[in-house]
Order: sequence, then C-alpha cells, then structure tokens
Amino acid sequence: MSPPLAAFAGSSVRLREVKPRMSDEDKLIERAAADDTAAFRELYNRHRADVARLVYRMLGGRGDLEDVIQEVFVQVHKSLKDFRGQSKLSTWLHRVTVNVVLMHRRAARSRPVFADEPLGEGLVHGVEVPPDEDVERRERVRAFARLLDRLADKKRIVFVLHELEGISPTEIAKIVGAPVLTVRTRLFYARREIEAMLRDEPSLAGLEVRFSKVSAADGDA
Amino acid sequence: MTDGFDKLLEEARAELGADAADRVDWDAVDAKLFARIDAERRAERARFTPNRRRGLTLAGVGLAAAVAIVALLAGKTREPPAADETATVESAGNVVTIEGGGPVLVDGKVVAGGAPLRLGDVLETGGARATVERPGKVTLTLEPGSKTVVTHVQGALILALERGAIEAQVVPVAAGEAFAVDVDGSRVAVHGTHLRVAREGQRVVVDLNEGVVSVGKAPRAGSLLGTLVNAPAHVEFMASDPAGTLEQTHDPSAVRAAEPESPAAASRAVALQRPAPSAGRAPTPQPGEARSELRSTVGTSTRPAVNSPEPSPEEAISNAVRACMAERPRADNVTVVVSTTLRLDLAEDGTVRFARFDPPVAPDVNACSATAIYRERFGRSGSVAIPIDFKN
Repeated sequence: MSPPLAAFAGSSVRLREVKPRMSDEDKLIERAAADDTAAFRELYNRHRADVARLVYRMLGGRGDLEDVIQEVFVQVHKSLKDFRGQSKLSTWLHRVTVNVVLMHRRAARSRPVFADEPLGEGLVHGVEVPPDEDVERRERVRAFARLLDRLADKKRIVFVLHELEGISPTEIAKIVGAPVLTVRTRLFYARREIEAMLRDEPSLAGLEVRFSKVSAADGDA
Repeated sequence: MTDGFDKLLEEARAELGADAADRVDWDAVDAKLFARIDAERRAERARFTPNRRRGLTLAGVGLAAAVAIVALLAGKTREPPAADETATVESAGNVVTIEGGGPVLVDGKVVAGGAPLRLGDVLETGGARATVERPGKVTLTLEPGSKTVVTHVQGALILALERGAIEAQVVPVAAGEAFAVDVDGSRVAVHGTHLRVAREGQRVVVDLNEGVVSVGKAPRAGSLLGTLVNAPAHVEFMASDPAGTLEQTHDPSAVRAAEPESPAAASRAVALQRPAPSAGRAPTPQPGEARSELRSTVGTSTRPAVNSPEPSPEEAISNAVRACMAERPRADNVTVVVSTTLRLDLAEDGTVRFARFDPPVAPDVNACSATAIYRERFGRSGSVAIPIDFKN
C-alpha cells in the first residue's frame, strides 16, 4: 500500500512517470510489428501449437489444416502493427484464428466437395487404455466431432472456445465481437442442440448407459 | 443425459485435436509461411519504391543515368531468397523473348531471355520489347521505354504500370480475373481478351481488340466491379478518376491494331503449347500463330476422341463435366467459355474420395457432374488433376 500523500508534506519529492515494465512477449510483439522476422518467428513458435489445436477443433478435423494455420500467421504478420495491446495477445490470436477459419469455411462451402471428407479421422490421441475402451472412446469423440460440425458457425465457435478451450464468455465476447449475453445465449442453444443430436447419433445414443457402466466398473475397482 | 454429456465433453477436451500440432508438417508450413511473408514484403516495397525513383527521373536525370541508379539501388537491396523459398513463391512467368536494342532490367539487373519474374519484381525496358509468358494464362509484351511492377501473382497476374505500355493476350478464366493492369489507383481488369494498356502520364489509353475488360478504381482486394467495356473499343481515362473521365469509342478504326508477334516469340509460344512434332520437321512459325494457338486452347485442347470405345476415367469425367456445362441455358448471342481444373483425391482402391473444381464452376454443374465423377474408378490412388476447357 502506498503511503498517504500527507507523509510527504514539507519534504522535497520528485515524481516521475514510471512506465509499466514490458514483458518478454510485449517486446517480441513490438519487434515483430517493426518487421523483425526473428521476433515474429519466435512468436509463431510459441503460439503455433495452440493455433493448430483451435483450427483443428473448429474445422472438425477436416483437411486444409496446414493451409489455414499458414493463413492465420500471414494475417497475424500483416496485422501485428495494429495490435495495440488492449487485449491479451492470446485473445487477439483467437480472434484472428476464428476469422480465418470462418473465411475458410465460407470459401469451402462455395466450392464443390462431392464426398464427405473423412471427418474426425484420427482426431483422437490415445493414451494407454484397454483396447475395447480405447476404441469406444475414439468412436465417441469422432461422433462428437461430427455433431459439432453440424452446428451453425456462430454456435460452434462459442461452444469450441468455451467448452473445449476453456475460455470465459467475457473473453469470447471480445474474440467474436458480440455482447456477453449473446455469447451466453449461443452457448445455451449450442449445448441444447448437441444434446438433442446426441440422441440421434447411433454411437452416442446410449451414452449415459455406457458411461454409467464405466462408472460402475470404476467404483468396483 | 447431462452427466454423460459432461463426461463426453471431458473426453473431447482431452483428446479432440490434442495431437493437432503433431499432425502438422511444420517444415512445410514454415517454408510456405515465411516465403509468403517475404514475397508480400517485396511486393510492398515494390509498390512504394518506384515513386521515389520516378522523382529522380523527373528531376532531370537522363534515362541512362536513371537506369544506372535504379540498378545500383536495387542491386544493393535485392537479396536472393533461399532455395526452398524460391520454390514456394508463385512465379509471375518468364521473360521469353527480348527484341530490339537496350537492356531489359528485372529489379535493376540486366536479364536475358528465360529470366523468371516473381512477385515484387520491377520489369523495365529501355529500347527493347520484352515478352513475358505465364504458360496457359497470359502472354504479354512490355513495349520499349516501359516500366511495370508485379504486384499480385496468386490467381490473377496484376502489374502496376509505371510508364509505357503493355499489350497482352489473356486466356479466359471461368471466374474472377485472369490479368489486370493498375495505373496508380485505377485498374483495367481482364477476363480473357486481347488488349493494350498504355500510360501517358496520368492518362490511360486502352485498345481492346477482343473480349471484355472492366475499368475502375483498383479495389484493395478481390475482383474489380468497374465499367464493362466490350471489344472493339478505344478507351481513355484519367488514372485518378477512371469512372468520371472514362471515354470510349467502339469505332474499329479508332482501335489500335494488335502488334504482330515476332517469329521468335511466336515459335516460343508454340513450343510451349504444342507437343513436339514426331517427325523431324519443325513447324514454321508465322507471326500471330502463337496468339491463335492461345485461343485455340479453349474448348478444344482436351476434347476427347468420341470414337474411343472405352475412354479413360479422365476422359469420361471430362466428357461428363463438359456435357453438364453444355446443358446450361444460355442466350443465343452469348458464348460461354470455361477453363477449370478438376482436382480429385483418390482412395487406395482407385475410387474418388473427393473432388474440387479450381476455379469453381456453377453449382448446377457441380451437382450434375458429381454422379459421373464418383462412378469412375482409377487404376491408382493419390491425386489427379483434369484440365477441363469448354466453349459453346
């Protein structure tokens, strides 16, 4: 707690503006915005895995992952000089990523894709679990990815950002440029739609039962 | 359901895309990303540096001295990109022929025939004419005393004309623009045609021998929605206000005739587009032959042999797609020209996993073509590109 001003009465005090100390990342951003390739490369290396995961989740595991990641960082490079630091870099990166994914999906819709691209193939990174359970779990997550893909863009984005990425509605509001209340409403409807779709998805229809079995088995163990 | 739903979410959080970063070929992404950044940086530099250089010229420095200064400046600043980056930067084409006296400079360096032209390059002719070819897309000639900057290469080729004139023969594209010339803030965008764009200070003069162009203020991105001009036409406008100053006449006598191409340029273009003759007889190139060859690639080059009893899958698909295109309604006085490539991804058993037209075609053509495309089975897996040209 700073001392009360009265404590300085009668003494000679020189005040000077103290600038907040720049973090390592702030310095990198400043250098990258000034077209320092090494600094941009460092930022890219730090954030590329997060961007890859988010793109992957939002695309539903379809192809073009690498193209979209590349486009995200091209946009980041172009726009970094306009980044004022009013939001966290991660929030800003999410915003750029969401916009690029939306553009990509719009472009993809306008061109013909005659067959269902393999959706959710290999989405699951397995850990050591018994084979049967592993297969079931993979199928569940794959089916879940298919459901996500059926959501409208706006709902899918807030759902992925909140439920999978763990971002708060307040921050999502900044990312998608919508009021917090709108984000909450989209989340509500997204969740409701997915719950409804779960009943129609063959591999997830008996979800509750199966989970109950697993829980019971866990309890027995 | 909620308990199960929450557990499913938990699983998805832990596993959905958890290995996304491991699935990415980061070396490839890095190479493409930094090559693109480098190319855009070069284009950005190119957009701004010519004005400063022009200032020197206007200050009374002679042309030769100016060229020398440009060469000196550019020589200092231009660094050859790394080999892997060069491969990933899309080419604007190649300088195929140089005729007449005087040097042709790319970024201030004297070049010979065959020199590549890339995004951001400044192409400048002294007393010579330089012909640049982007195979299958554009053949253009930069007239003597001209200077232009390559500002866009992905999809459409866009040149910023600093001085002089450009004459071009453009192969039609199904959607968007194939070629455009910017003069300061204005743009002449071409979908497939023969034209000449000349700059006389701020005045832009366009002679249109064939096809349709669009004239207007250059957009920051995307296609130009300007004034459509049909051939034959002689058009003049001020670069600063194309819409307000545009004057056009369709009197054929007012339209500058297309320059006949030199035998050298013609033979070069023919060689690029025709398969080598089987016998030892080389065809004798005639002036203008390249141009007619260029036009003839539309609608005929991939036409399959109708008598073939069992066409290959490529031929069968190409036939089916063109039949779908032919079924589309059109007015009697309209000629439809489509040039696209169908890209297929084949499964292990040779069936088509997915297909994509590049550039896209009309939705009804997609729908019509789908059955034929998925019916075919190839004798291999991997990817296939089928060029499809159509005209009716």
